[in-house]
Amino acid sequence: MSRVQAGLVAERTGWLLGPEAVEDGGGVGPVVARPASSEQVQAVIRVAVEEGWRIRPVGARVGLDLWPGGGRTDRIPPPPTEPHLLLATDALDGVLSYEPADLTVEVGAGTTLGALDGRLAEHGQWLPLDPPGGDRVTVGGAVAAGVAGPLHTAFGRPRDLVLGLAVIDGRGRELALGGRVVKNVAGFDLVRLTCGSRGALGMIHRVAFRLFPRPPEDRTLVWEFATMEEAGGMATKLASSPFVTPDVELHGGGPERGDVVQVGLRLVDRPPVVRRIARWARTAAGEPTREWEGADSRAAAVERAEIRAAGSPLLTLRAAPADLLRLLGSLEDAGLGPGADLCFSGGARSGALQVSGPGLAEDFVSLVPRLAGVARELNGSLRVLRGPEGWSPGAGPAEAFPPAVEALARLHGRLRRSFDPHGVLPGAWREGWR
Amino acid sequence: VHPAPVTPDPALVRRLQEIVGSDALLTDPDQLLVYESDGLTQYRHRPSLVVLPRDAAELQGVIRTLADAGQPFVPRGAGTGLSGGALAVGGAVVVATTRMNRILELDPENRRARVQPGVINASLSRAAAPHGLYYAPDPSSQSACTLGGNVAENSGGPHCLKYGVTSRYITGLKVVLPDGELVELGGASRDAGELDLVGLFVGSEGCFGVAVEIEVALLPIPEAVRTLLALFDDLETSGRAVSDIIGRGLLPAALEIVDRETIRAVEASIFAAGFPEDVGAALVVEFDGVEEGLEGEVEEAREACLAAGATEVRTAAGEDERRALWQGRKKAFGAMGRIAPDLMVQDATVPRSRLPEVLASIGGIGERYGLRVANVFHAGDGNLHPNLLFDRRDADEVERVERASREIMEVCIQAGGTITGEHGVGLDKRSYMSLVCSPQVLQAMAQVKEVFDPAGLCNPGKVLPDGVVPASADAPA
Repeated sequence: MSRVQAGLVAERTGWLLGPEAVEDGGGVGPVVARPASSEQVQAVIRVAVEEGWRIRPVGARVGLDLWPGGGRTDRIPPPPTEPHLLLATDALDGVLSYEPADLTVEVGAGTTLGALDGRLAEHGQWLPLDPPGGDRVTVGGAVAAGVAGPLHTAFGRPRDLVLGLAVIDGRGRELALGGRVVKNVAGFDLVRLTCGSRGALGMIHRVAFRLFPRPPEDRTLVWEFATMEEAGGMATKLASSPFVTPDVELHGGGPERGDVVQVGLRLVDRPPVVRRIARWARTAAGEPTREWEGADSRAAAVERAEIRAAGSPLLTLRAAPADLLRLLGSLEDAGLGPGADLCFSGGARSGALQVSGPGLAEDFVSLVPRLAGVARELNGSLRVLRGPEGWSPGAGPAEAFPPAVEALARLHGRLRRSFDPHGVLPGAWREGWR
Repeated sequence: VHPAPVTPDPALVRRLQEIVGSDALLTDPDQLLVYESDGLTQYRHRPSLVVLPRDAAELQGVIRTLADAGQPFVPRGAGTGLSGGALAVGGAVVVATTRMNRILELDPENRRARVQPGVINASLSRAAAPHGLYYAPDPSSQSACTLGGNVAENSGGPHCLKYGVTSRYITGLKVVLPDGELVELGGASRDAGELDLVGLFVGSEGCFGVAVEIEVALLPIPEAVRTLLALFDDLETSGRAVSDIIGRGLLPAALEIVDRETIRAVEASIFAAGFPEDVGAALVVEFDGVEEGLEGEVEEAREACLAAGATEVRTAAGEDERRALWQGRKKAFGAMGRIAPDLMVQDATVPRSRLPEVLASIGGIGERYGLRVANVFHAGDGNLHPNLLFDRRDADEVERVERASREIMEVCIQAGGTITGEHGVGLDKRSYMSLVCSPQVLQAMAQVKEVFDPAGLCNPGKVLPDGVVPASADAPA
């Protein structure tokens, strides 16, 4: 986008929102606008339709808004990949309504998870949502990305916690979806369709969640191992416990961990339950190397969530939980074991591993097809969330990404276009979408 | 009651016969009668034909043939639905999945199963039990309803209070689209694609195609369960106890209320569970999980019930007594057949804290219209099921039931609730949709329907009210 064009976008947006709500990007980046109401979001999207702007809704910009389907080679990516305008949710923050007796809350999309947690804690409640990025992630970002953290095996994924949301779609329509009751099947489930849609259908401006009683005890047990195999074996064993708990986490690499691979189990429940499961875990895995309680346990979880969103390149390998060891083995075979310049985090119950770090960047173009091959063999998937600088999914490596199934591609494309027929939203112009 | 259905085109019948064989095709009017209704018996639409494919390939062939012929069709499971969602409006062809009833794979290591759509809900839990696992969503009809039907309706059940509804447990689907194409959506070992099509398909009430294979997540069976029965003089007080239990930070596995009318029906039936018949309402409170935590929770719940005004709180003495209570609760709907020839079950959800006032209003509406109302519902979720008892041969009573139903819906919506918590919209609640959805939202739903079913052949006349049409690409917002 030229400096002149940016100036025009900034000026036109400034008329709608007031000049103080717009940054012009200094001619090097996209214009950033901060609408303060759903009407303002609507006004901007309508102008975008008229002017043919590319809009990208953003939250805290921790990098959860990633390439949707991994790279694909069945089409040439459209050349423009930069938006004209970032539509930030910063000014759409705050608790709109909170009914502690109903265990429901409705908040503006720009509210951060940290700020919301502070408010809920006053009433002994919480929202068990722990996406990569931690407390600074916005509610809108977490829901739009739809990425779950370790708590999801006990409490559900983001889409299971959302009761309703309001979105302005690419036609400029206000769609108030779902409601504020915990069970609701009135019509097709556009709430779940919007969760995880990464801005492709519209900009989420408010979200209603179901809440849970704040668990009186929060404890994390961590065991350290020298090899991937030992760690993976123990994680798998802990994940096969007969209890419903958050996911058993695996972490390795990075400056904090050096050569060791950590296996972590966070327990959030009533004290006798936590004591009982911790006792079981000690019997299964031995005395933990580290143990955190209360606020420390929560802080450690937030820190791990921050690490999960960090790093470039970043990819996710996913397979059945029982194949975790093979997945880890394939990383090691690729020279990406502990001690390598590499960071990985995984969940033994969900069977997903996130891998990042410079070690991955060095040999990215040859590593990705190998890892993709392993994932495919296990009937799993590989998804590139961030490539190294200059890499674009359309640019390959070709063999990593099989062409999409035609009928499925058609469904995705038609759905996206029915909400964004003019192509102003990211699904229309970002790589990886159809 | 609608007029006799159109006779199916003989050429179409022949083509279908070639795919499924003549024993999987019902054309005899007496046989078709079975399919004219679901669990909500006031609606009747006889299909022109019923097809019973045995596997995915047959089903795909059937759908493709129907699509090619431009013949509307209705997917159907066991027919236990409560919104008229599987009825063959206009003499459509019913494609029933009841013969596709195999568990294709039970994978205890990964806590998953892959099933055909006709597998009965309870039989999956039975099959998983030897591995210490179960399938969590437990609709009251679980001994008969199919998982395909559960997927279509996004079914709930008593234990969804703690564990969530069907959509949380469906990780992947193979679906035959309304044009006959087979697509695979999701899969637990795979990253979601661009959009969460599994989440969208679950709860689509048979309007987006037919699931031919369902991948579900299983949970470990909780090692211990405790069940309390709290008795109250009236319904509103039992509703207050629910708020108090939740307010104390407790999360029971289930919180269910049955009122006096329901108790009498249950106790007079073969499902008699030992509910005392002289109380205004009974609240079933169940906790599950690890043994150590339960006693404390049970004690707190007991205190909350007594503080709210319970006249007595009993603990189920053992597994037999617990089972009997649940049998009574889950079969209550069937037991009501003993006290009235017909019943109209409603399914609204309200915020939990509004339960006492909404229950009082419903009682008032029943009195005003001179109708008997029996309540049996998922109180912890605020999911009400007022059953209006009537006799359909009495035209005046039928009309009063319709008016009372609408008023009950309006009371629930005014309290911040919705028109259906778990039974779906189907045929029954189409006209209520505009009470909870804006014209823009209805239009967006119509667009999504059009994406999956451009020809409008798949379960026509359901969910969306008449006159709702998708927006064109250039339509102004």
